[in-house]
Amino acid sequence: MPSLGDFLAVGAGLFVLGLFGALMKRTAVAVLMGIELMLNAANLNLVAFAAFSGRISGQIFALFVIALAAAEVAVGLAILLSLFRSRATVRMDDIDLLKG
Amino acid sequence: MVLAVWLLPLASFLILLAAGRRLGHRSGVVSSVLTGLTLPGVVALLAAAPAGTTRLAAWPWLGILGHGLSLGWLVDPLSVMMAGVVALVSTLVQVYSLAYMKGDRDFPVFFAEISLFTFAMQGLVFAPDLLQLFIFWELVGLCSYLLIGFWHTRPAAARAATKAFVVTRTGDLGLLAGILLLWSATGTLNIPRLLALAGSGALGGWVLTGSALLVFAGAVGKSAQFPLHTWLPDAMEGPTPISALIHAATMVAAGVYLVARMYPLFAASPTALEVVASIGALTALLAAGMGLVENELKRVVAYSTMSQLGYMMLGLGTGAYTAGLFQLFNHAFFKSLLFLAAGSVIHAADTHDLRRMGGLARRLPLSAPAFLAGALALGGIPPFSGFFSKDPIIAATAHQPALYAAALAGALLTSLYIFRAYFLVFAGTPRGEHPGGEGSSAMRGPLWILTVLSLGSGLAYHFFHRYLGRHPAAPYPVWSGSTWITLAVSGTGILLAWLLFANRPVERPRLAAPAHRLLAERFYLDQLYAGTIVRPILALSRAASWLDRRAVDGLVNGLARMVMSFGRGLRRVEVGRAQSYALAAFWGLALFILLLEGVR
Amino acid sequence: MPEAFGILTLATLGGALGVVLATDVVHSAYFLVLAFLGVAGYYFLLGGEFVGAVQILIYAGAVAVLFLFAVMLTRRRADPVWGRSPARWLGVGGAAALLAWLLLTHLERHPWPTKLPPPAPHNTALIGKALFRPFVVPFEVVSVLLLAALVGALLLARKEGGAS
Repeated sequence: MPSLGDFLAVGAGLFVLGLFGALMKRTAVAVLMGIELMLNAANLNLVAFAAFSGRISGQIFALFVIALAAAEVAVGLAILLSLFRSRATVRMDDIDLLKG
Repeated sequence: MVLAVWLLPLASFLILLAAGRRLGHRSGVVSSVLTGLTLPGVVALLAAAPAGTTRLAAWPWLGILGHGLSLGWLVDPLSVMMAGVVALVSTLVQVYSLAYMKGDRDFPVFFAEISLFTFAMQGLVFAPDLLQLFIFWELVGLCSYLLIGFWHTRPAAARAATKAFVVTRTGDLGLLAGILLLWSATGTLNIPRLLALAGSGALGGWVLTGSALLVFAGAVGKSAQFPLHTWLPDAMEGPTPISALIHAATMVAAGVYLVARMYPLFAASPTALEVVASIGALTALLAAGMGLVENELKRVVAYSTMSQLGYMMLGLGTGAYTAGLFQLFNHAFFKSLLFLAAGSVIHAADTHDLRRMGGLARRLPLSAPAFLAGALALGGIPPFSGFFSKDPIIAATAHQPALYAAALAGALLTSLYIFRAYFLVFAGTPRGEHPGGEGSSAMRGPLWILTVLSLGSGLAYHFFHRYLGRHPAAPYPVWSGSTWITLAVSGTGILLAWLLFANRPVERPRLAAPAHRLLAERFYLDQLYAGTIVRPILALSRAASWLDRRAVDGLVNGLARMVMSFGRGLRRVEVGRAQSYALAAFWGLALFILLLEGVR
Repeated sequence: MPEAFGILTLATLGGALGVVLATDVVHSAYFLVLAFLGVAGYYFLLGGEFVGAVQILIYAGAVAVLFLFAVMLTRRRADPVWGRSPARWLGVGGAAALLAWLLLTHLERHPWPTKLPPPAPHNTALIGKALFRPFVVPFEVVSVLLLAALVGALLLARKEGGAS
């Protein structure tokens, strides 16, 4: 029987893999995928805590996070498209408008 | 009733926001009428909240660990008085603006912003909770920013707006820190409960003094007290009605209101009271000195606002609670009168420069006596209103020689600079082309009403004292031993101003020789006075002005330069790639967790 | 139960690993779907069938399709993680390893409950009630946020200066 800790461990693994992807990938789309993995890890923790504590709020929070993630992906990909249109690149290293 | 007073301006704001463009010039009428409708509400509140009562209505909207933050209102004599000032001045200023702002491209926007300001100000006044107070405190700051920069295409206005925003924000940081300190010490932000805690001695020691001083820092920023006063003169870049409403009568007085609202907190800490009194006296003196060497009409009035706010703080700091608030009350009327009259002058003379005005009394048969009434009230000459509030403040400092000297010197300078302005503008012969005359009836009406108020509001001292004094049983000290001294000092200031500035020669390049000699001889007379009396005063004023520019601004600029060089160093690290930033953030997170581990 | 957990772990972490290591972005997207489905499986295992269904619909369905479209509309190119500089490997790998180590050692130190309380019989109904009673304000805020995101995404993705 898996304990709460096992679920959290999977969550931790998912988070670290997502982090690795988000920081390592060159393509902006892949970076967004990494971020989605990290959000899923957090959701997994929320639902696991909710289930083991017998309370519902964790699931509600997970639902909110899913809604936010959907919004984030939509806006993120739209930014990406307009960026691609104006600079003809989706490589993270070429996107340096934040440069001071 | 409170809801009507509070929310009618909001309704006006929303209407103008939605339909301002379509309403055009009528938008100003809508806004003025809706604000004017709050006046009966204030009168009803006056009846509903007799002296000594406190009505509290609060609804929790945010719970943190069992402590509720609430939104609501607190109705007591203090808030009713302040709400009345806000409603009345706001209405008059809006009516005045109907004519003053006529033809401006953003006419509806102007009235929308004034409505938002009025709503925010009433929210601040009625706040029962420090967090609500802070929210509306910031909202009035925002409105002030928007309205100073109303003519945002002028670089000077945009700069002044930013400066005002940033400088007052510095003080707000202190206020926020004070609120957080009170929260962590008591677990409540409810103002009556906090004041009860402070009054009963449950709150004491460094927490009490520290939080009082931090709250005062917010008041210093908002009320343009030394050393955060630099934004107010620049704020005169905004339209003149705004200067009258926000930067004379209401928002800048919010700092004084805050101190009065939290008065038991200050009263429990002698140190805090001393700081309030000293800062007030210092500002009163320095600002009066700076007003004397200023050549722009509106900025002279702005310096006098700073100086009078200093007197209010001085009054609160020395325990003259009623007098300090009465000064706020009277000042709201006579100072907005001065500003609106100055607006008429600028409208007529088409210049801000005192040296290019003169002889305007004939062209402005209403504004000239109105300005004179405001100046007499400001100078504290009975029976004008300033006398009934300023004199008791000065008398209250009589047992502290340094404060007393500063207050008296400030009174001398006050009548000197304001009558210098009066004589330069209205007396003598014109020194420039003055195309215009008195404005339309919308501009004249408010001037009339404010003139009457400046003359009469002081006479209500008995009622005022009974209504919101802390010790209403004790008589209001309207005539004391030092009154003659104060009057003599103020009178001397007016006399000096008349001798020095009323007969100033017309500055024309070439005049007939005999006339020239005559004028020159007159000028010798001026020089005589200048050498004996004015020179030292001017030197003092210049020193104050120099100190302000070099020491205070220098300090501020030095800080800014430090921040900038720090930023330049950081710039090398900033390669502009989001992933590098995120990596740094996660390293920070990991190391932080590691640190926590080590601590445990 | 343990078998199901094992299979799901394999799918989830394997999928995540695939997302990171795949050279082709399209392959990454497919692996992403696998990981999403694995997480949905956990939700079912934990008795949260509504969240699981939402996870499949939104993530494995909508979000994944969105990703595929984005890949299709932008230039597709190889993106191996192997080719990055040693400094970046050290930086990112170090941070990830350190975080993983910290999280896992923490997890081990704590005695976690193993007994799952019996799932509520009307889990979905409970969620509905919770959403519309205590959480109704956040719920409405989220709906406004989604609308704003929709409008924002449209605005951003529209051709610049193009016909409205």
